[in-house]
Amino acid sequence: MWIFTTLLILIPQALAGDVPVKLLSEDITIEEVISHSVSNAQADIKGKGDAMQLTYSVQEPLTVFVAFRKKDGAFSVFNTIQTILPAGIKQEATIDLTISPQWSIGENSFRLFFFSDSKQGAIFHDIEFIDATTGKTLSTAAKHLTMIQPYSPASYHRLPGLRVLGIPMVPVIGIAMLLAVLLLLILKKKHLLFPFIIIVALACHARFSLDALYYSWIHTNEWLRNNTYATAGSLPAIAKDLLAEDASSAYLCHTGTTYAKKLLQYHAFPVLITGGTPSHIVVHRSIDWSYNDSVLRCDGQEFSANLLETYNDGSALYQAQK
Amino acid sequence: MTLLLLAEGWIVAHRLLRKTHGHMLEALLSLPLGALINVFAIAVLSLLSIELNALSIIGSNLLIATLLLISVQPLYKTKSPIPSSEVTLKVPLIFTVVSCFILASSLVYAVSHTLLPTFHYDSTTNWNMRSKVSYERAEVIFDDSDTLVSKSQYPFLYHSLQITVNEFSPRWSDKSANGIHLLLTLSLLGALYVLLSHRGKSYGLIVMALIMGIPLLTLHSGQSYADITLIGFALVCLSALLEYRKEDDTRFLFLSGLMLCSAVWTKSDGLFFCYIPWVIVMSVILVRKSGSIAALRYPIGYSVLLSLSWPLFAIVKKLSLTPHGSSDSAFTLNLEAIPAFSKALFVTGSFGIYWYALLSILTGVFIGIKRGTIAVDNRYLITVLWGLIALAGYMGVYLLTSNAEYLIIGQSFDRQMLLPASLLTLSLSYTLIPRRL
Repeated sequence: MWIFTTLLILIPQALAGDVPVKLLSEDITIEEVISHSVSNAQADIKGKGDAMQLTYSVQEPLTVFVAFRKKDGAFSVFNTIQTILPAGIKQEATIDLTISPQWSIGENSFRLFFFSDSKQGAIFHDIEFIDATTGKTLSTAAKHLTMIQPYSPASYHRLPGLRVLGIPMVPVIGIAMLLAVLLLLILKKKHLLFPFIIIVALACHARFSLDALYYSWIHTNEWLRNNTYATAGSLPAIAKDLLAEDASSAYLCHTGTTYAKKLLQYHAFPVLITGGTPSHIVVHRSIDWSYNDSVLRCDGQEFSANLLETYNDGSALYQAQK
Repeated sequence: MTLLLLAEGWIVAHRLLRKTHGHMLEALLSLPLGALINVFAIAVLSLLSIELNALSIIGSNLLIATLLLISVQPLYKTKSPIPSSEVTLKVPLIFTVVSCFILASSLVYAVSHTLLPTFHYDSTTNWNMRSKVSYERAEVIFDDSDTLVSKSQYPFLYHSLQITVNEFSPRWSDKSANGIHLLLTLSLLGALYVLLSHRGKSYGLIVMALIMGIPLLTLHSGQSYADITLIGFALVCLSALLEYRKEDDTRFLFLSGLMLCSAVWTKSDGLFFCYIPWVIVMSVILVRKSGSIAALRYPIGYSVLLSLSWPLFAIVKKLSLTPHGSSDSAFTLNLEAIPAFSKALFVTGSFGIYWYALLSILTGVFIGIKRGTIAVDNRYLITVLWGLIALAGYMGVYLLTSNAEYLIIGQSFDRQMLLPASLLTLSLSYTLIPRRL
């Protein structure tokens, strides 16, 4: 019976949204997409509803990021929705907003990023929010409850915690537990006090254990099949190849934080990741590089180089010509 | 090399405990004690500027193991009390099942992520990186001017273990480096469970699950940061202290001191949030103890002095005892830190609802004791002080010094708070005596 009920709750969810949506991947940076697009724009908008209906005209498919803004204007990459609007005149598309754990039943504040491969801009005729039905809200709550927390190099420092309909679950469950404890004390049911606290704590721990199992499965599977590992991508595999190549030093062509350089440096050491005249060049998630006629250009540097290997995350290893 | 560490650690554990608490506990203490011997071996080689290679490390290990065996000798004559049997607690099956699930999930996560390449930032700048550079250069790195390594002033039990197990390998093995720490974590947690299970196997499982199931701690079981290593040593140290309170067996006090020393040599936090609270707790125990304290002089004195070896080493090598130098102790009030502190403990997901549960238990205990409806075991009550001192200490560091920055941006604070969280869980699990759950 409960399986049937679950299916009923989830079916409307599966049909919702005209355009396919997904959460922004941690290995995509907005800067990267901006650099690859011919034109881009952004707009701030507020609205209440589970879906955003856009009426627009555009000559080329339009990439859209929908970021949920907090009170201070900041937004989390992990909670940002990514979609592509098909080209056409006076097209209508509905973006399902509930895929993001940041979505709440009240008014939400968004920053929309638009990217296009055409110099012709897009025209938006109308933007409308569709009110959430009770069924949709319930199914969204169930979906948020089973969502996996994002895993990134920052995970060892702080975990964001589970959000349901934009509400953080830790204080909700925690305060409810404190109130229940007070009630037990008032009702003089002290024999239930410790069992109650312990079972709630264990249940919450067990919920995260599901995430831990998922991480184990997804990371191991990714590494065995693809030789990539979450944000690290192919860098550990590239480092292994640098060592096998007896590289003397390597240049990392990359756009982003220092994480990639530090990770490659650790795995490749004693090969040093430096500038100057490297024996090898690693291209990994860079927004500023090109390779033509055996000349690799990156961040204003130029190297004569031969391609040695390409990797499943789009990275490449080159050997510098002397 | 792993076998050498296990063998020397086992001999010390066997000599100290003399089978009175079973083979399992001695076997599980082998690697933790081997790791302590090993860090002293590497420290001696570093002080004498002797190159780190398989031969020098083995020789130095054997020398230190012999000295440790000699130091155990005075306790060998101690009459072994017959282990007292605790009243085992009745635990409903559902608690055991959920606990087993949590522990099994943590184990799966720990093993799978230990076999995957090193991933997290500080591993590649400090922990594993310092070990790897030290291995390649055949000396422990105490200088980070070449920017390859950061925080090279940290104690180096973690690094010593990784260097030693890689010695017979032609190249640095990332899997061995993380694998030996997984083995160390499992040994420490296994020893903790053996000691906890005296109150009932299911009860032991629940306490282990309450500690290991803290979401951020589950993640750290994937290795390559020393936070879980520090927590493991601190928990066995506290557990041995609790065992001493139960049995009045001074050998457990000595064991507690050895684990304390290991914690001090693992992370800077060990000195401030393990050593100092341990000394305070021991002082209170000594002041309150009725009768002669003669039997305690040697194990306590030895423990106190042995742990001071790290600050002495740091002074000789001119290393800072804190992660960020003098700014760690300079008073700075940052008001932004207060909401950030509450958010980290009570809103975000690092601890799940741990701090709410702790508040609930402390509220229940406070009211229960006042009304006389909840019994506490006074033998163990004093050990709660360690967790409380560590908690207050971290609050002071993050609210009243420039470290507030790391709390606000979400670095280091959460994982450091895992230490008081684990210690308080363990102390309270002994102190509170429900007859059934």
